[in-house]
Amino acid sequence: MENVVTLTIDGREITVPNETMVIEAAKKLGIEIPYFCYHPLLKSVGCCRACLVEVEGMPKLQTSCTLPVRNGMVVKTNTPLVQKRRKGVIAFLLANHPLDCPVCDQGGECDLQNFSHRYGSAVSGLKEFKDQKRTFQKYYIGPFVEREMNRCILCKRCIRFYDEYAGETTLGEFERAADTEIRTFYQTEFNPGFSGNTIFLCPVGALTDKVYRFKARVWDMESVTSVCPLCGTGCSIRIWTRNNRIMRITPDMNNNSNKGVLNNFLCDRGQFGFQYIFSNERIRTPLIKDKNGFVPISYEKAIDIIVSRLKKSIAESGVDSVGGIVSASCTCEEIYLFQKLFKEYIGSANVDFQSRISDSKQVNAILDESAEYSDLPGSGGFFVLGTNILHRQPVLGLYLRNLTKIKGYTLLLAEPYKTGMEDCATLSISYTPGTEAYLIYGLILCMLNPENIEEISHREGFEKITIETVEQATGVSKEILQKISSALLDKKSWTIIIDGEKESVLFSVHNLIMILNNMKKDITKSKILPVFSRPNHRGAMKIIQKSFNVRKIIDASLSGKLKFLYLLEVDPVSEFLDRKEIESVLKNVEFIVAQDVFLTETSQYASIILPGKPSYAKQGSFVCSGGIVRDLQEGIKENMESEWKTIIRIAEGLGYQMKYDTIDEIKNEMLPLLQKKGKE
Amino acid sequence: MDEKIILKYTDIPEQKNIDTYIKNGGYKALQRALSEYKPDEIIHLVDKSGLRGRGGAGFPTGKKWSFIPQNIPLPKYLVCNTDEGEPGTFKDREIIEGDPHLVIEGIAISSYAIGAHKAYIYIRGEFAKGAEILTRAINQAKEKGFIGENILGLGFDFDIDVYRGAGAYICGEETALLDSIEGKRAMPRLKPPHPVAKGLYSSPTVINNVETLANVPRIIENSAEWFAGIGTPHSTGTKIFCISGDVNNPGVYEVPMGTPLKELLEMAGGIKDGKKLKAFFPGGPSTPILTSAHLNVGMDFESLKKIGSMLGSGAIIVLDEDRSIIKTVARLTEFYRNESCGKCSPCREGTDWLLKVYQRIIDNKGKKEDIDLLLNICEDIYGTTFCPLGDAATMPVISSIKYFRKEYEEYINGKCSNINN
Repeated sequence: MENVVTLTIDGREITVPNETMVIEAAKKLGIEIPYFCYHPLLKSVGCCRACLVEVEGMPKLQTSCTLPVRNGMVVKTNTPLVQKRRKGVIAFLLANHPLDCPVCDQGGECDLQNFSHRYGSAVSGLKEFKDQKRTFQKYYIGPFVEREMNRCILCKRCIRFYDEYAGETTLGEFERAADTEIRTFYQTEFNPGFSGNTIFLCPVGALTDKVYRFKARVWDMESVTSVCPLCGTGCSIRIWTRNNRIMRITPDMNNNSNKGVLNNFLCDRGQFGFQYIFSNERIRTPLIKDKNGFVPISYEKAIDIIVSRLKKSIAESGVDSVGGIVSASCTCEEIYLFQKLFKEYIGSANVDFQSRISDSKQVNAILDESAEYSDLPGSGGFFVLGTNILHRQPVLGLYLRNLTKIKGYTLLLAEPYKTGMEDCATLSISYTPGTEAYLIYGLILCMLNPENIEEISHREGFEKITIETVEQATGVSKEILQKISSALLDKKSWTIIIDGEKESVLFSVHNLIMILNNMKKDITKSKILPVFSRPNHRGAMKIIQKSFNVRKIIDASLSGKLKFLYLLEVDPVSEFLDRKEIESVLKNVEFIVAQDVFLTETSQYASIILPGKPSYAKQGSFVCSGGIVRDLQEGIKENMESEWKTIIRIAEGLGYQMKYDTIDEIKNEMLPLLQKKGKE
Repeated sequence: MDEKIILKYTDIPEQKNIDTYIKNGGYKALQRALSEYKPDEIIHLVDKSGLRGRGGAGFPTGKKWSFIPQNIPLPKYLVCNTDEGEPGTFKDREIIEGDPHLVIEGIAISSYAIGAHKAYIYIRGEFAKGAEILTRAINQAKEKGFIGENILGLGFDFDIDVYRGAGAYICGEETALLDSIEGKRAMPRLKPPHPVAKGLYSSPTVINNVETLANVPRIIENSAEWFAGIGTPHSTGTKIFCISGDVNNPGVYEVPMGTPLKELLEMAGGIKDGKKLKAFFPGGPSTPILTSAHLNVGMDFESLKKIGSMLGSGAIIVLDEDRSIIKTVARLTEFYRNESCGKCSPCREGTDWLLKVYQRIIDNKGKKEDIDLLLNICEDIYGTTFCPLGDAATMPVISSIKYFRKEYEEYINGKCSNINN
């Protein structure tokens, strides 16, 4: 094969892809080479010099992180010379390091500590100079990250992360030689969007977590792998707890089972946003409304009241007088039980999870063909349309920034406003907000011959659209539309990234993609990658597939037919588009059960409020925007009844037997509904 | 042969003016190169002349040029390295201030040879006068049509920019210099890719020293054979030496390669105050120190390599018998400690550590073991650093201990006689 290379490392042969670095090849053989500046997700710079190896035929030692493999190369990683030089490099790194490990948060997971123990010299030639170590002034660099420059070994991973990913250039080196200091440009903070990653990247304790500061030692904590619930990306997280309290959340980079997922970095929202679970304003016990407002009642009593009100409504006004709305932040299992309770047991069709009317079958069909994250590197280019991706799914945006800015992929950007991706785009345009469908139709017009346009334009709603109307509506000129469309017709496959919650856009882009794939039959198919703000939008879409009845629910309540409404972790007042309408809906319903983590604007309309668990305390699964099923694990245990158990209790109260003892049983029953599973 | 090649006219104040330069035969070589030679013929010519880089490493110039890939759609650049940061070196300043047109002509011919239409003169920030003279000279050359579009009507477009550095020793390192021109913090780049493949703005780039480029017009004017006949078989041409330190007439001296140090010292008027020679750096402090035992060494690439030193930039720093080796090397170590760019750990921390040890010795708190400690540190720096700066920093330390270990021991024991020098 052409693209592989066979080399020998420490007497063992290995075959690896071309352009692999020696350090990575050695890692595959299980041979450890110490390193500090190298990081698998960053470009190699070879500045720490700890990874030196001997290569036959090369006079000098080589840094294995910058040395590409070659056929027949013979590498030795553990000769006496290499050992001696490693000791030297580690001694140099320790020369000015304060060795304050007992008070350093990095202690226990510090590369310098680990590699010094393994490869350093037991005797230090530096003891005499310990009072002459260089020191730096304290310096504020942001709300989440504490800089302790004295500990820095200048691997520059933090600067490189900003250069290669986040794109904020305020972080840099100042001064020179042994006085080099890493900080931000005079008195500025570094961009907080992704600052937390530098903590994780820092091999020593120079950048540490301000939120976690001095709270625990690594070896005192337990950790589980879970999924970040704060947007649709579905990033892998590791939840670190001590005494059943979350201490910190870190990316879960080293988990090999997470293939096909963006398990590299986290955004600051995901890394530090968990602190809401400590709030005093959390709902801890069931509440019932009486004359003086809400008062606590016992869980048993609350369930009894809910069940009796349900029974009463069904008996008096029929099954259609009850209904429920569930949030796309709930797990698949919760949503599954929720719809099962209403649809299968009670027989009411009044279940939904979102505020918009949806042609669910078609949406699901489109989503089934959408791109997975693992398709992204194989895509020829990206067209980001009206999503504000760095805000909606920050880590996906970060990944795209790296692909486009560093790895040279093409990015077309069409956004009504500036989104912070402009510097990566080959072409960036703005259009009048809300005219995405026009824009896409304009692109289609540019791509097609006049005859084909005839064929398409008989479709309802499109008859009168010409390129001039598109220009007028979107504010984008014909020339630019032609530029984009000819770029899209370029000989490569595209991933079009759009807001998955806007169905009109979804349908238009689907048409565009069909035309594209038709015109470029010999090329890998272009695909849609939808972006969602809720972690389980795609799961909810699949599970509630057959009854998107939010309109029915609203109409029923406006006409006074709806008597009972169960709101599971959803806050219609602030989430639904027509606030006035939803307020009158909620006023009209006799009995509302609202279950949530906090009191919301909707809570005031509820008759009974049940406490909800945050996702960090839940087991279950999400389907992320890349279409992969992701498993949540219980990071902490909260002493309140789980949502899924509450649903079972209500069902049992109504006389239905829901026989599930564990989440897994529900999952196994539900999985066929998700049909298309992630690859792993 | 006692005729100067490069410093031939630098004593004439008016040589800076293009008219005088032309009167003295200037720009004829450019005319000849453009009209009589194809680019690859010039490369061949320079290769045949045996011209080697005068910046320190001594890489054959013609060979370097021949590495420039010709069939790629990227622009090519020539960069003239006028950073001259090596302590004790001042030959390039002499050339650009005395005969700027010679450098410009050399750059123009070299650019033609490698197919570059744009050249940069990277001049260290401190050379304000030099930058001014060069800029004026470039403007004059533009007026006369030696720079610009369709030079001399011979169909070659060419432009030069003068770029002033902000002052760092590392900018003399060719890849750091490129970063500096690009407006970045000057840090050496990873090699490969070498600048000839991916240099300035990721395009093929040749970086040559001023003295190297100034030789090019002379090779065209005379012949490759003529140039190869000067000096020694493998170090051809002349070399400008900058003699400084304890000599009566410090300054620049252009002599054929291979001239013994003894002769150079005589040209510089001998050691000051009739004292004896103790030691000298043959090519700046980045080259290992030599002693009075090496007086007869020929000053060329091979001879110096044979005795464990290097020709370097040709900065001969002379120390008389009363100089303290320890203090001299400590001062140089301080220079390297401050000028290390900070990129790689052995250089950044190693030089800092070396200085701390020297400081301790100078403060009379030195220990017997400190000599071996210095050597150990140097051993761990040498060959492990990112760029040659780290290696350079170890040169004076290792070589001074090699030849003057006794003085180190005496200094540490408090018995050193020349402690105050």
